[in-house]
Amino acid sequence: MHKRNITAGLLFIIVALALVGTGTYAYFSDTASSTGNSFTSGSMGMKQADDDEGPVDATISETWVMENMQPCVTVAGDVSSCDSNSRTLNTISYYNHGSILGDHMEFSFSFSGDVAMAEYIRILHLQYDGYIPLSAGSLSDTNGNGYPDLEDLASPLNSSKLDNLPKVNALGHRDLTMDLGFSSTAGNTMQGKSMTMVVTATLNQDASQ
Amino acid sequence: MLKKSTTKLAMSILLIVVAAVTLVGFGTFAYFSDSENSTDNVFTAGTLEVTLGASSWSAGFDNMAPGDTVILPLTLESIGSLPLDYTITTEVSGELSSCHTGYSAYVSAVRVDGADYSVPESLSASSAHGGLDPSDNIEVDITLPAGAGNSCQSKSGTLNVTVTADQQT
Repeated sequence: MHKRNITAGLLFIIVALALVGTGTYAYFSDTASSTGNSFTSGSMGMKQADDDEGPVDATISETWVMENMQPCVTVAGDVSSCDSNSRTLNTISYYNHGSILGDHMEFSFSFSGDVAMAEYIRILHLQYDGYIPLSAGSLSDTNGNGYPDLEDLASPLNSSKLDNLPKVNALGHRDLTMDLGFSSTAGNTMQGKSMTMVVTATLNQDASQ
Repeated sequence: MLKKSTTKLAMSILLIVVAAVTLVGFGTFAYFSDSENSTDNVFTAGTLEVTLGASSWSAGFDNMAPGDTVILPLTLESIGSLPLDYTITTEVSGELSSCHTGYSAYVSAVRVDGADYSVPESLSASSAHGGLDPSDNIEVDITLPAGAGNSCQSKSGTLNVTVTADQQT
C-alpha cells in the first residue's frame, strides 16, 4: 500500500511537470493589425494671371511695362499730359489651388537696373482686392517727395502694410492692381534710364510667418 | 533602485529640453508657404536730345556792307526717342550790333523749313516726332541796314543761336 502511494505520487509529479512544460504554449492568442495608416502632407499652391498670361503656377512677366516714358504726372496728381507710354494700369489675379488654404498673403517688391528711377514711378492707385489698409494713400512717404511711389512701396518701413493680407479663398481670386505713372519731377538725369521690378506674392500657412 | 530612477528622470528632462529647444529653433521656419513671382516689369524713360548741324559759322559774316543780308543755315536734328517742341533764341552782340542807333546789324528773319516767322528774335515751332521727320532746316538772316553809316565800318559782331528742346505736353 505504501509502495503504491509512492508510485502514485511520482506519477502525479510527472503529469504535473508535463503540464507545466507545455502549458505556457497552449494558451490561445490573437493579433490584430491596423495597417495603411498613411500620412500625407498637404500642399500650398497659388496660380497667378495678368492680362495676357495664366492662371499658371509659375512666374509671369511683363505685367507693368512702360517704354519710352516721359515725365507727365504733376505733383498735384494731374495725369492729363500722360501718354500710354508713361502710364500703365494693370492687375495680377491670384488663385489658391493648394489643399491647405493658408493664413495670409504677403507681397514684396524688388528692383534692378537704374533703381533711382523708383522714386519717380508714382503710384496713382494701389489696391489689393478692395482691402483698404493697402492703398496708395496708406503708404508712408519714406523718401519725402510728397507722393506715393515704388521706392516707398519697397521700403522696409512699409513692409508691414504688405503683410498679413487676406488670403485667397478656395474659390475665386484676389487682385493686386496698380496704376503707375512717370512723375513730372523726374529731371534730365532720368533720361534713357531703365528699371525692372519683380513682384513676389507669398501665401503663408501660419499667422507667425 | 533610487539612483536608477533619478538617472531616468534626468534623461527624460534632458530629452524634453532638447526637443523643446529644437522646436523653438526651427519651428517658425517649418510652416508651409508658396510664392509666385511677376518679373520683367520694365520701366524705361525716353530721351530728348537735339543737335545743330553747325556749332559755329563765319562765312559771309565778314566784310558786310550797309544793305547786306547774310543767311546762317542750320540743320536741327532730333536724336532722342521722345517727340519734342523747341524754341529758337537768337542774339547779336559785339560792336556791329550797336554801331549806329537804329541801323546796327540785327536778325531780320528766322525760317524753319522755309516758313517765315515775323518775330525772329524768339520763336516756337513744333518739330516732327523722332524718327519720322527728325530734322528741320533753320535759316537765320542777319542784316546790316542800308542806313548804317561809317561808324559801322570795320566792326565785328557775333550771332548766337540757341535751340531749347522740351518734351511735348
